[in-house]
Amino acid sequence: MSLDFSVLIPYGKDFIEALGLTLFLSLSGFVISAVLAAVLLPARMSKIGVLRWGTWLYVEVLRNVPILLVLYVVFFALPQIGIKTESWVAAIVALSFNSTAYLVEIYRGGLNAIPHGRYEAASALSLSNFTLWTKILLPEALRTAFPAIGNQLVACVLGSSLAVLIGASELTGLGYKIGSTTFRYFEAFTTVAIIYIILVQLITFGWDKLGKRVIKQNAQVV
Amino acid sequence: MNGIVDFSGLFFTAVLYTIALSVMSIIGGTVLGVTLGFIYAKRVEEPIWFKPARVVINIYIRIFRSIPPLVLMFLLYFGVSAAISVSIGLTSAVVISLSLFIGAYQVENIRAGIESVPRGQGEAASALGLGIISRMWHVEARPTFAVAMPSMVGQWVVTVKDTSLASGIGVVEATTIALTVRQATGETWLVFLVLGVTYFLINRGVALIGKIIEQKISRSSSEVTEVVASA
Repeated sequence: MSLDFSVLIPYGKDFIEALGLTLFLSLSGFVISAVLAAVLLPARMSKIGVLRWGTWLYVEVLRNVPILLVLYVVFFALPQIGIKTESWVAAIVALSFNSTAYLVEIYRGGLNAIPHGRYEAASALSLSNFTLWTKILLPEALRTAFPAIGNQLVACVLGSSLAVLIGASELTGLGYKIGSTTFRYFEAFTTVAIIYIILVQLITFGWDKLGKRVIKQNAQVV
Repeated sequence: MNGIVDFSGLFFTAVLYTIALSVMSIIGGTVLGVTLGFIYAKRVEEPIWFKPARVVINIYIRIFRSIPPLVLMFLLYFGVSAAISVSIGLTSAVVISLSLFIGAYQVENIRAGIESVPRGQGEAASALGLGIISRMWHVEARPTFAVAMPSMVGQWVVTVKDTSLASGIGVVEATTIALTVRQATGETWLVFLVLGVTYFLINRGVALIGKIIEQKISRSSSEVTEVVASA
């Protein structure tokens, strides 16, 4: 059987839409989890046992359980207690829950990497707590954690592909749909894979560029 | 409740299958990652073919870190058999996909480990006239794994979790059976709880094995240091 990529031409518009949905799912999941993780971080590093233990448990569970299971819980189990969601909402919720667990640890790693001398220097200069955090600690932690946060963004893009299993027609879903209607599975999934590769390369490239700017700004502050 | 107990045998078999898929994919990804990683690391003196090989490995990493493993499974299982007359079995499709995906991450872990070996040791090795293979084996291996093990074990856990994607192409592993039981009994929460605990326990086991290997490596490398110090 010979390859025939021309069968994909009629689906041009669908590819744009599917790419849009993939971007929407993964970026929403990433942004929500970036915020959630920032909210959970103080609890994770808190001196109050219950808060610290609770967030630790959240992180441990979410990092050891497949994201697919989280997705199924949101999509199949939550409706039983009255929380019914569309498949794209379920995908974003599952992605955010999963990604939050990783980002909390990435943020924490960034903060923990700061040498203790910074705190001592800050108190020697009698900097206020506010200045210490906004001018010294957070920028430095961000700089350390920046590459890992980018990897998590890529993980969100890859993770959004699971939405096909609850019926969303993002890129992977479209590939499956084209494959099952034309039986050109190879052409469909090769094209989908190439789109993912280009997308992830662009994101990685953009993130690196952004990182250079963030680091440069930090260097000026320092 | 009774209904769910009836499925325990089926579920147990499926969990064993999940473990088997995990073990095969972990071995595949690790062997691939370690082999390529030892070539991918930059050294002062190395065989000339390492340089072009590095370009190829870099392309491999970029490609396979960017394709969702589920798409790889679809491509191998549905795509290849539709395009050519060779068909790839379910298990092979899963193991090959996960090995290629995880291997791409393990290369970087190993590379970071090798590049953390102090430069002087590599130079000493070539001054002693060690070939590249004996240099890798006798000089670089231990400190490399001592550094790389924690992140490698992290990828092993990812591998176990990603075997759940095999349910997408219909492999009868734990997640697939959980969905079946859910449909048959309607015990959605209970089924997912059991499934979650199962994955959690498997991953704890993987982490524990990783810790044991890590300790073995660090212990034997400290023995080496003692031998060197006493000599």
